[in-house]
Amino acid sequence: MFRTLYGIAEQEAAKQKPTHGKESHVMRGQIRSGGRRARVPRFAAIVGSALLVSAVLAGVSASAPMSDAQSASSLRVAMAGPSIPFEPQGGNSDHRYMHNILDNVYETLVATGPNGGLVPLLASKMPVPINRHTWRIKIRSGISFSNGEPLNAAAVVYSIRRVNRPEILATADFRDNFEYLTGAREVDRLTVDVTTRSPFSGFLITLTTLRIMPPNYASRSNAFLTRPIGTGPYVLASGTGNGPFVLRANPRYWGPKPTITNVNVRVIPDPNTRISALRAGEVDLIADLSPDARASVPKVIATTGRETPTLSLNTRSGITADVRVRRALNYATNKTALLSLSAGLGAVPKCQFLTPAAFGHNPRLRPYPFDPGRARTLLSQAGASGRTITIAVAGFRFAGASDLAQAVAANWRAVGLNVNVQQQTTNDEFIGALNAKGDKRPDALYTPLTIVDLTTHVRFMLSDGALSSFSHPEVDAALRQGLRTLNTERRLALYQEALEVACNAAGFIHMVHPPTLWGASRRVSWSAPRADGAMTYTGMRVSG
Amino acid sequence: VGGVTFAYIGGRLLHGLGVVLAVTTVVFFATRFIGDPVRTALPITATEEQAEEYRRILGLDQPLLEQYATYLADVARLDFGESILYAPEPAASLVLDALPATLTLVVSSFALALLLGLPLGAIAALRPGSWIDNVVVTLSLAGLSMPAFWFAQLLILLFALRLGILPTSGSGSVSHIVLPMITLGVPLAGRISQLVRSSMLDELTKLYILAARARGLSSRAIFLRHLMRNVLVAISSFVTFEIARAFVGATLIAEVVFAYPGIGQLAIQAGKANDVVLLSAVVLIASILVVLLNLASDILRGLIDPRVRVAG
Repeated sequence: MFRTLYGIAEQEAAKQKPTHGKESHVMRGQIRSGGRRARVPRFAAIVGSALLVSAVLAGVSASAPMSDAQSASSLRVAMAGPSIPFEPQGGNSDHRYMHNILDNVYETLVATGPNGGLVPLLASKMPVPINRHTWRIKIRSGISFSNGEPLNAAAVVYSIRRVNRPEILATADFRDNFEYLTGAREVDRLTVDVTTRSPFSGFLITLTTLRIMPPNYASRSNAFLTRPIGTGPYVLASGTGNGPFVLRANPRYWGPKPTITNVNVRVIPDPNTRISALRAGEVDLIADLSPDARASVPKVIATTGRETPTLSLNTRSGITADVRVRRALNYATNKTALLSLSAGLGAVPKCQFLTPAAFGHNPRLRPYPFDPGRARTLLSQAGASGRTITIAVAGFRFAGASDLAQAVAANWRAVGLNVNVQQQTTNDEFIGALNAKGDKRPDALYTPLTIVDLTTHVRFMLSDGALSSFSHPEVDAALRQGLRTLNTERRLALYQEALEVACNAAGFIHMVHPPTLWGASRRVSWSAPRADGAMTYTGMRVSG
Repeated sequence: VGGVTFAYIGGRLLHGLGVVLAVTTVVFFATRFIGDPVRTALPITATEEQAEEYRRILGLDQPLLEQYATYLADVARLDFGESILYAPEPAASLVLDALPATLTLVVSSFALALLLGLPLGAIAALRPGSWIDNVVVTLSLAGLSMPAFWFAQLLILLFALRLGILPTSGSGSVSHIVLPMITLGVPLAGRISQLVRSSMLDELTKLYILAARARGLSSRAIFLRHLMRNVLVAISSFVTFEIARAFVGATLIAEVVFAYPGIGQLAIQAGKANDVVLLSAVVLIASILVVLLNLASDILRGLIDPRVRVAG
């Protein structure tokens, strides 16, 4: 073909220059033959040189990724996104990666234990309420921050007062909780009293998110945004933004010394490249492993996450105002089949937002069984067969959301409904729907919730909750009483009662608890991976 | 400067300023209408009051024209404000910090592309219809047709996993740039070789070649002084365009796949987080670079080709 094209070009040239066509051809031949001896070796030399340079560079690099690979005291990690300036209380979905650094540098007064319960960490014992508006915190003695500042009441007071500054509250992940904290004062060197706006049952869970900072260092400048200083088992030796980050064991650490003393954290956004880096031996552990890719890695570390993708049904207007329709939708949804979207990993929620590890979880509840026949009967009784129902989903924002919504839509179509899956394409659209009431609210809105204590999310269930499309007087009463109750057992009972009523009222379709997966080399073990997906390196072991 | 007048350079600069101003305006209004950055930055549970408060902190509660006037004044000082995603880091310094990495990638990719594309195109043109011509044309078409993300993954599989001689990703040593450089450079080499081949075939039919031969010039002199000079003029515009394209988009895929910390990766992060401040900074600084690049190209072409030395 190219020969033919060339022939055409020759003919065109000959037409344009009839008197010189032959000479041109000869000319070309002469240049070609004249240059052959001189240029071809030169071209070959140039290309060869390029290859040689590449090979040399490759040789230089070949040893680099393997340099600290075989030590039992070092770990190399790849995460999917950047760790942005280390505001200790910052955090939305774009900031989640920084917890892989900060959770190892900072500590909190109270922490979530291995079995999901709360345990004192920097507090010497669990804080207790001394009246309905005041909690007393006792701090462990003999602890210092990695820069040598002592951990004392002044540090705790500073950290608590700091979270109520407008600029900190603006993006704080647990803003709703922090707003309850109205004051903190030193009682003695290791005792602090914290006052709350009203009796606040979520106080202890709030303390699990409130990182304690060294007041002298933090108040002097914003240096902590790039060089965080805490009491935790590691110090950040280097790294910011897109990394790489180097964590070293904190020589002043008060607790058991971590066996891994060096952690190198890289940011690799592309999931396939993360897997390749693991397989090439460049890293030992990768975060955000897709369930589909679990066969591609030497070892999978999995835990059931805390997230519960849920369809919030509009109980106040439209087709879903009828409880029979809502129950029918629950019966029509094959939740076990939805797990296949995450390769069978994860769990089916027990008719509630909460995983078993979250405070308020009601172990007596069971998911609505998959029963299309019963769903059809209920829809028929409600006169809803053949009617149209809308599922709104912000697929652009939540990974896997569109697949889940489409799978549920298929279930609902199978029982005789006409289902419209409405893709939300902007945050404004999603937030607008989430805050909407009555007719303006979609029949079913995809809402992923991550809850560690129901206290923080009652706004999704209370009748007058800003983000709620649910309304039930018994649920309101139980939740409100629970919020005011400081006795933990009593509060748990009230929350469980609220969840049971809400389950019967079928205001939500809790679809799945998706898994949190990591890929690892065979030499890595992790006894208790965290459900929230953050990596804490003290619980990991690396064989040499 | 080598026959190119200052009036000509001044005119090109003024034209460039106009382009930057137009881009500034488009970027400002586009980023205001692609979605509410406040709602993206805040947790989904934030109330409208909380969103309003954050909007006030960011200055997004002001009337749009007032915001635009402030924005123009700030941009003139290269002050884009604090990135929302990386707050309180200034957006301009984030981009300027990432720029050397992208520049290194672009320069090395083009060096590779020219190193491969020029000789291969020349060889193909000097042996039209031969097996080597067919091989070069086929390879260049293959290079052109491969999607960058797929080609990048193939390179990782071969060099990092199979041969184990290059790192999969990252930065910090020269070896880290090899695979992204090949990902960008090889398809470009394909385009350059095709362009060189067709330009040379055109030039070879022209009378000045015959005249040069008649004057008794050697084949080497004709090739280097006459033929390649004209071919270079033809491909210089193309190379300028491709470099500009690399800055405003082509490096994105390579930077993301290879976790290479340049402005492309920064742009992706800013886009995902709806960080309008950072996004504006990336687009504007890239557009300023493109304008400067075009100016340099115009001057260079003036130096190579006397016909384009236009006063004013």
